[in-house]
Amino acid sequence: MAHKSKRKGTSELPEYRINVFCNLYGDSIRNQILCYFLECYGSDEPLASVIELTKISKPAVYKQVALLVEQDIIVPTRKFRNMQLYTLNKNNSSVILLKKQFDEALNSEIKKYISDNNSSVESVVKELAKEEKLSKIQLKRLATTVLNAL
Amino acid sequence: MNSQLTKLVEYMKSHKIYGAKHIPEELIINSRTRHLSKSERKEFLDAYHDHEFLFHKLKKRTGRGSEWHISLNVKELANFQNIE
Repeated sequence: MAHKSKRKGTSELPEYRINVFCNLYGDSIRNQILCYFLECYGSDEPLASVIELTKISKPAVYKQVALLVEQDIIVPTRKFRNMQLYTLNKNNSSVILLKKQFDEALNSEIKKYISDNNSSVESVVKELAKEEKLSKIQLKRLATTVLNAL
Repeated sequence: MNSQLTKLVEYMKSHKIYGAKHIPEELIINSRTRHLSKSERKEFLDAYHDHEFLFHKLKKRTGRGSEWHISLNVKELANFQNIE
């Protein structure tokens, strides 16, 4: 059997790297780190948890965070045990803008998911209505119970 | 609602961990509680157990036996927009 070889640049992203922020601004190490801090907006976070969840190498994260601190986007807050905690700079205008867009993107994504699920119920009803002679209300009840059970 | 719990929900929302997608419970809880003191960690865990209805829990077979995985409860997804 012939083995399908994947080209390096064309392979799909791993699941842990797919998020709303990177869909907007593109997938990069900087955006992954920014996304993590936007999710934890208002609280200070250690870089160890960024490394654990994003699965980016330690030196790459430290390098990018140093640049972000230089640009005044991320601010070091306090030390806990042997960890330095960082948070987003709320006074920075670009951070405020990013947070606004991030929230809007999140809400629209969830609305889209909910509407898609509702539309799937409607499509099942339409398909059943073509073949059966049941009323649409009865079919809708049936479809919702079936989909909930799944 | 506990502030760390809202951050956990926010993370799962942005990474679309709902529907069929799930994440190891231990991984996400450890990352949320690493920088918390003992009392704060207990507070978070109490809030997490009180709000269990927000998550869908499943046991996944892995290379080292099995472990608990969680995903957001789709039925509660509409309410997540109101969580702050």
